[in-house]
Amino acid sequence: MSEAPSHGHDAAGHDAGHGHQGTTMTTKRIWTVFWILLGITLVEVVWGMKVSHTIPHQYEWLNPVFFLSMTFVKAGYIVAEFMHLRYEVTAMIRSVLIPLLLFIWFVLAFCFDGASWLHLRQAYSYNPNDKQATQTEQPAPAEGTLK
Amino acid sequence: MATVAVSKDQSVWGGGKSPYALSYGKLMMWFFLMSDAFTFGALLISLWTTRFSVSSWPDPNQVFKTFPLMGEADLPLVFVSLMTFILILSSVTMVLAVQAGHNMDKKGAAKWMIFTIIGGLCFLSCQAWEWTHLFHEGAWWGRNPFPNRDGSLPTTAFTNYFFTVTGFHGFHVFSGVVINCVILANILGGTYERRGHYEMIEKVGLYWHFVDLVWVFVFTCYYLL
Repeated sequence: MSEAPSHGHDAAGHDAGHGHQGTTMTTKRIWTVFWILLGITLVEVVWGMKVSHTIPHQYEWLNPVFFLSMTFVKAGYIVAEFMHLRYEVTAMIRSVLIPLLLFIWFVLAFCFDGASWLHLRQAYSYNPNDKQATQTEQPAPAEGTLK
Repeated sequence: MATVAVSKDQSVWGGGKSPYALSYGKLMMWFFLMSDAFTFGALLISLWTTRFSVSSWPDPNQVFKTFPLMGEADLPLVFVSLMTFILILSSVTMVLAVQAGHNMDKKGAAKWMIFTIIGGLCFLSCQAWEWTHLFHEGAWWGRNPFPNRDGSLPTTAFTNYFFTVTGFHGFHVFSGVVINCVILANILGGTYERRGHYEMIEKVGLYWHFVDLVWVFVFTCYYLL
């Protein structure tokens, strides 16, 4: 990569920015993407209104799985088509997407951090709102008064 | 090690042309949007850290269930779906403005840019109505009238995050509308016609789609889950 930083915004770089994309994104394609995004949103809303609150308890994990996968499909269409990323050169696509992998660590680390706080609260808190506090393996100090 | 590996890529990385086949301005817009993605990511992840750290959280279907002029009708998610629809539609008009610019179609570019600005203003109006409505229900930074799902007392984290995240997003939409107005003035003034290309629409378009992209995640995190 030693030679990479040497390019500047010279005349050649400027030329590359416009004029070469031509027919990559047709009007028909734009509206197709619009209908896909709208359809996904409607399905999400119907699920949120009709399904997510009545789903049997053992299947509740389906709610976040469904909503998150639909969200990422929508995000993919917006970035790939509207932001034109899928029509850029491979090096550009990689340069945008690889740094975003940091989010995997980011999300996991902080969600586990939050869960750990919940565990500490339930184990040691006197808050009568935490009704599940006594379920943890740590005996809550105020167990007798909570019931 | 790089000296051995580059022979195949010499034409791209050897200098003299942009290896990303992208202009300086568009590349810098992408870099800015990546940093902005991490800013929004930090806000939403801190929201989820807090949600994971408490035993219960208000139900969005109980909080966001009203619609303008519909009184007390129970319409969960309908209003926010309308906002999502408006934002997606304004993204489409922005792509159409970019396309008109590619064809050096001044009138078309101006027309679609005007529609995009109208879409942005509609979204901001919806958000203003929603904020006002929630404020009159007693919600604000530091005040949360909505009970948790399990009936326990809520924390103010719910409203704090709601107004901070949607406020930060709304500020992005507002900035986008202002920038779109500047671009529209330049289109009508013939600046891009004289320049020979309408690339500025593509740059502001990237920003506008990013704002739409962030809304997709805000919508899921705050209204659906």
